[in-house]
Amino acid sequence: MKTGIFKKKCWEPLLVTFASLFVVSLVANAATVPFANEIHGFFGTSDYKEVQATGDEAKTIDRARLKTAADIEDYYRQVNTDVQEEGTVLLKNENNALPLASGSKVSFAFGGAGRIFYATHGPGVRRDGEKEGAFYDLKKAIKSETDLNVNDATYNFVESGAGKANRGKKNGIFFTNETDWNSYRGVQDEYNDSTVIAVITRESGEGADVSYAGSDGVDGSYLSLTANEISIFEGLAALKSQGKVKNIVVLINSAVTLRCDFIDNEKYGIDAAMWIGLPGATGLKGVARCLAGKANPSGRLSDTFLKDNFSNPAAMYWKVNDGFSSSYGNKNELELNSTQEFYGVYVEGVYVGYRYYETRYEDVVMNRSLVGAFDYSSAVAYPFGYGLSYTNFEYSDMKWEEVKDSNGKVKSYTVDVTVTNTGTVAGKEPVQIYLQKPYSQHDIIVGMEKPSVELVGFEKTGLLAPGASEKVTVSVDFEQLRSYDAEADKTYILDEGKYYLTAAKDSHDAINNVLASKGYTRANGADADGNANLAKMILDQDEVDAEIFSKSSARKRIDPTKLEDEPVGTEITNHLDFMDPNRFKGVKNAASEDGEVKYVSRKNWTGTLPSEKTNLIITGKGGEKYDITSHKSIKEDPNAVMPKWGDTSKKMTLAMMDGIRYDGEEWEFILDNLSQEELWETLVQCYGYTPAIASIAKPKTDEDDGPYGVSNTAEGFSSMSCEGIICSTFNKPLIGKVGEAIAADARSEHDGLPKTLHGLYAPGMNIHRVAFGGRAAEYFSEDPYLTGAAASAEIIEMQKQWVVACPKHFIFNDEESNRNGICIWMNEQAAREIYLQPWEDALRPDRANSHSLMTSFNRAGAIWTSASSDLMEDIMRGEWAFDGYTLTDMAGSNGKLFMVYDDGFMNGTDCFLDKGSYSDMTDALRKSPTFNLKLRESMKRLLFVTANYSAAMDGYSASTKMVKVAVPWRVGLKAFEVLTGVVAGAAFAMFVAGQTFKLLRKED
Amino acid sequence: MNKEHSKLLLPIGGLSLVAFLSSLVSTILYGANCGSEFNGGKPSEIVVGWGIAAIIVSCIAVLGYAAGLFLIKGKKSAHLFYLARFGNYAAFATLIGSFFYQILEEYSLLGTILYPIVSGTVGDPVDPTLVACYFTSLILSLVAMIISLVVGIIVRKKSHKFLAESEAK
Repeated sequence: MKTGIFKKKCWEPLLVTFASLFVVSLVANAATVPFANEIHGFFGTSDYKEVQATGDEAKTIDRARLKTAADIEDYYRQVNTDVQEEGTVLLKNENNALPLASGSKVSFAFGGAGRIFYATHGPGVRRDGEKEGAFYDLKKAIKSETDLNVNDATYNFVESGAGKANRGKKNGIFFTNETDWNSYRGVQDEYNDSTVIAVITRESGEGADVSYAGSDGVDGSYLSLTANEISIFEGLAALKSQGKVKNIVVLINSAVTLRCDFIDNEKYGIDAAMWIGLPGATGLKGVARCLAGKANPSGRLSDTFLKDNFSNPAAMYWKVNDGFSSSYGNKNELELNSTQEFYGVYVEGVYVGYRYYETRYEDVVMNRSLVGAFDYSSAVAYPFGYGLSYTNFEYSDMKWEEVKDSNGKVKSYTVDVTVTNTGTVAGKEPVQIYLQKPYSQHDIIVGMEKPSVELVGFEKTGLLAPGASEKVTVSVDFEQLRSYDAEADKTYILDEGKYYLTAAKDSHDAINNVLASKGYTRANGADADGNANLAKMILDQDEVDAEIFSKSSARKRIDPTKLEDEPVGTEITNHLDFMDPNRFKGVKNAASEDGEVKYVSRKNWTGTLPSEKTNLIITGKGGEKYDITSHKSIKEDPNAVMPKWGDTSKKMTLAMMDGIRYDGEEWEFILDNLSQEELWETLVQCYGYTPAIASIAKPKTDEDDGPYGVSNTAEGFSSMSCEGIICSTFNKPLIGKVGEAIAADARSEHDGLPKTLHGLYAPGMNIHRVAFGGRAAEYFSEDPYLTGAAASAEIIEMQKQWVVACPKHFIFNDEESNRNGICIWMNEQAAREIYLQPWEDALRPDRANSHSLMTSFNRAGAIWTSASSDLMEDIMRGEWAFDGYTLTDMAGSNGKLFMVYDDGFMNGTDCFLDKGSYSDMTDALRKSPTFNLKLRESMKRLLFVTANYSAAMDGYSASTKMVKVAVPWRVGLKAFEVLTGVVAGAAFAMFVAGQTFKLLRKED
Repeated sequence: MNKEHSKLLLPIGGLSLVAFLSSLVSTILYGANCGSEFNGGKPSEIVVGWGIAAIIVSCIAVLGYAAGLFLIKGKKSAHLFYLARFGNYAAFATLIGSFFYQILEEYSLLGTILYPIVSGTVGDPVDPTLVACYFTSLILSLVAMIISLVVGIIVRKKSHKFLAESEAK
């Protein structure tokens, strides 16, 4: 026997090489399970092919009016420019600094001018790697839109010279690293005869709040000017005083609100200032047009701009507690992990943003007791709703009337105001309607709080020529008059006392109008004489009515094509006692004698504003709603029957369900088709998509992040202005266009990229309760009404494009500090009136009718929000009649200790943003009828939305089948595994044979 | 066993011991300290499984070299020396599994650590002990992997010579 082949030296290296490659192939194949969607996306492949029966009519979903990628891009960029033009807020304009005269010279200062912060990264939109030419920097925008004379030397200096921005972070703290005036010495002469555009930039983003301490701002925070920035302002002011510089115009490029005490500081010589937020790809074109007077700024502030960001009660809490999140006092004793140990308390209650400043101001003017020393003008730089124009508008002829339903009950109010342009240039004016509800004796007794004014409606005029007038009509829902009484009646009430509506230019104007109508003027200590003609008492309620708002007025959409005639009438009562430390005894504040948290109250401002640290400890009382641990036991329903699995006796496809009522028996048949594994894996693998289900021909739907622009796109234009700017337009149709543009972009196949999205994780709807919230760019405002109105306008238009909206993050995710599991504590009145209200607008089928939502990382009290049946079922589905599906935030990333399947599914969560598998389903869960019926209901919701409202059904008919196909990369990887395994095995055999022959020969 | 033989066997055995200890420490660090919010508090069983396999085969290699050095003399020692390298090879292959599964199974942790670096924002805080343990474990796996392969290749090159010499004696 010839044995030469066995003796070759190659077998050993072959064995080692291929054995190693075999192991690599095992890992690679394993990686295809969690990352299949990403790999499919990369290669543009799918595991299934749709097969259509001949002659069967398929559903056709039109791409609406935007047909081509070029149409969409043009439209998107135009909307971005328009939104920025109408959302930019003119804060100050003295010495005729703006608009800039034609041909005048502009120069630039501060690093931000050369390095604009366009958008946040990640959940917003990418700001780097953009397509060449897609983003408009300041110089390019000014040159493209105006005939201003740009000073290139100063631009180059701040863009790439010694004055460039080196913004960064160190040890988790943001720094501006702005250079100082000394570095400007070489370019000082370049500023001669120019208007200086000074851009102050602050970054922010997901995962962390901006630094409230330890940064280079003069007050230690990232949001105040730094010493170097001050030196530059002083240097520029010196040039101005020497007659070299004409004017100084500040642009504030930030989504988080800066400490704005510097704008009126005479030392800095600032003539004009505008808030431009984050402008997105083409927004600076709109800013440039405003600077040059080609557009007249008509944006109004969506947040209160303060002179001291620590003056609001929520931020006072940050200051006394060394940040928002604190650790429970007994965390070591209880061995709490990092997703359990942190808490934050919303001690300000309903007094968020302007609700605090205007209320305390009114109490000072009305000389209420215990109001303390408070000077509005020292605290507030620019009120909520504030904004200047290059022209002037006068309001007159305010009228209101009740609108009644067929039963003669008041349904809403209409408010008419005539707006006249009394200036010399054309412009638009947003009319804001504010409501004052009474702060009654009842409130004082039961401990209810009442902000002095609340925004309840707005509309914007068209472009008014000088001298022209327009009658603006604003509708105010009667339900806006309700207040939540968590103490006595435990429901929404119509309080006793007088209700006023006022048409105003901002929140401070509003309270002054109301004060004027009550007879309070400068003579009584008001800082301005309000216009009593613009404030009307609309109701004088003689006693508390605890019935009128105690039942839900939401209407269901059981038939996907129309609303039910009658409201659901669910009784509204307390559901959130468990997240109020003072009502729920599972925690207590060890820092106070009575163990309670002190909420801010207008009954006693001085005695209730945060002045000492809280020290919450978990007491262990209170039962399950206290229980901070995960995997709660499932309470079996004795009547629950295990659903059928894989029963295909009635073969159904999802396309057959188009238009079928939610209570139709067909849904039971189609659900019977599914196996437990199919059902489970569909619901736990919603990591940016919902999986295809071949057995019922459910297509895969693709979703992506994108509160203000689709993320993960190679396109540079997919970057809208930040949400604060979007809602500062106070222009609902324009906000709707944002929804349309973003949705059209989502559905476009960018330059042939395999990406046609059917859903977007948008808009962001949390509240700007403090200036330091890291994700401010993704959220609209400090005001719940404005948030709800803007989100609704966007959602309605998105969904008209067949893109399922998934607003986020439900709920109380207003900060980023320790967001993974942080316990949020507050009272139910604040929870309902501030944080839940915009969601009610977005989710109710009879309002914006969002078809899905994303829950949050944090907890409500001790319970993960997505596992709170009070929030997810009783309020969301019971009171609001929400009929879409709910999706978690990234359960597949850093929340696996508490964002768990059993707790979520049992309490109203439908889908997990995760890469789970059937092996994650424990035996107990597999065998629990109660649990499996919950899963089945979740699947029904997902299928109902997909069948009726998703663009993914485009081209599907009742006979469409999904056929599994061989995907080249899967085949390749499998072949690689087999090949390397076979070669390694063969090499091993040859090697062993060689050694054996060698031994045998020796023995011979 | 000649002088040259024992001169080589000592560092080879030593390096194998380092590889063994590295894989041991790597697996312990991962298994004992990397349970976190990113994996539901439980380290991946598959990573630990590959790690244990690597420890076992590394241990076999070390024992082979130790036996060749201290217990068995002459021709058998050379044979042991010759065979022990397969322990290194096997360790190399299993450490590949351990290393890459550590990345695959902990993609959430890695993503959270890398996100702020890529995006320029601060990002979610990650327990520094967890980060230190995870990366130390990862690096030790890599070190053990490289050592195992290098030792195997060296032994292969030298073993024929030693075998021939011992047979000649």
